[in-house]
Amino acid sequence: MIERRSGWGVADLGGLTDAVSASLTHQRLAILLLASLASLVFLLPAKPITDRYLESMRSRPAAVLRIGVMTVGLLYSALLVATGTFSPFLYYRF
Amino acid sequence: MSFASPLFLWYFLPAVLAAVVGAPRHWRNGIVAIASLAFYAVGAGPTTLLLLACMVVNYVLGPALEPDDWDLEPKRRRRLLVGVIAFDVAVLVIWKYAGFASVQAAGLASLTGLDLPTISLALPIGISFYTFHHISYVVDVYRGERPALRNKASFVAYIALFPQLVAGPIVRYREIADQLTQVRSHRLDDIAAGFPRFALGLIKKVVIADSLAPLVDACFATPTDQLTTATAWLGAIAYTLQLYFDFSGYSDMAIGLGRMLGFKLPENFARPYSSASVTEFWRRWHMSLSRWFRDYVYIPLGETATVSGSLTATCGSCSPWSGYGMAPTGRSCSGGFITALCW
Repeated sequence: MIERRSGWGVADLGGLTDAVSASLTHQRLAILLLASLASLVFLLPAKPITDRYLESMRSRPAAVLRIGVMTVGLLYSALLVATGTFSPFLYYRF
Repeated sequence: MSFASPLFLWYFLPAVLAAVVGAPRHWRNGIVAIASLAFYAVGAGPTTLLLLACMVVNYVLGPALEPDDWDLEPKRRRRLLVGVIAFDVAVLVIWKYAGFASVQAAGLASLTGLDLPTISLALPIGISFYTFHHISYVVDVYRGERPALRNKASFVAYIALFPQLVAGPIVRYREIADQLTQVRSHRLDDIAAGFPRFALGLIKKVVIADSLAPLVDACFATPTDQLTTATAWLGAIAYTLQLYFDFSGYSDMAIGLGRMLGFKLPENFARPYSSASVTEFWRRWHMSLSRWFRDYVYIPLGETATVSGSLTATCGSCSPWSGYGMAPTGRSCSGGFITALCW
């Protein structure tokens, strides 16, 4: 039931059920961590921290980095779409 | 048809963009209207007829709601407005709640030994969103903020604009009326401006939200007696991220698509998880919905009711829109709003 993912160097994930452990693949764990890190920007108070952080991302190196990430992300997205992995949007139910 | 489906990305979108770029610019609304109805029909099937019926009623009655310099019959106009809104809301309520109400009625009747039949109506995709657009249209025309649309293609393009038809952002008529009548000529510039936003939304949806979906499903499928602390927290965090990246991804795609077609759609998110209060959160999450309820429910109610009464009524009318299961959320939000105001 409990699976320790020591290879990733993260805390013991003991306590997860079998089904959840099975669905927590390395790829999903990586995306969960990356999305959580990206969301830290959103979790911080807007006025003193986030605005300033986002402003600093308007420099030329940041723009180049952003374009690079977007290009790779877009190609990866196209690959995922081509393999038919998309699911309906959550807000379609409304 | 989903924005993230191969049919949309490989065939539909390129065909529409090619048509918009290649055809004379005054054809844009017509192309968008036809494409939007085709887009909707592929996903909604026969319920497209309901959308068409609602559009006919609102389009035909719209010009009669316009105020004019003489305006000899304001009461008649007001009665007509109330009638049109009642029609729009009735369609929404019937298609959204008739099944639920009949099941409840049958359950109650079974206690007395009666056997009532239940109704099962397929929920038309995006019915809430096009209802909001219809109401925005008739109210803005009634208030004299913008004239009614006499051009059928422009009207269909507003109500059924495919980038936002099934999940928003909700566009108030006065925000887009001028864009419908003034067709810009910089079409390639629009495509260049809109594509990065569309790509960002696609990445959010396909790479992040869809990758987290199986994990969320596994967590939420865990029976209560087997639920552990770790599973519960993992499910809560993963769902928080999935919901945000799914919906904001959709909104980014819709705004980018709208821009590629020459429309500037309103923003729908502004870093909602950095909000410091419930009030601020709803100003940052699904902003177009909050603005709609503010303009068409809260402010009109505020003319006759107290602030707390208006807030409760606004949240009370917002939560049924989300579905009967969201009623507790609406109550907790109105409680949060009132608490934040009193703080």
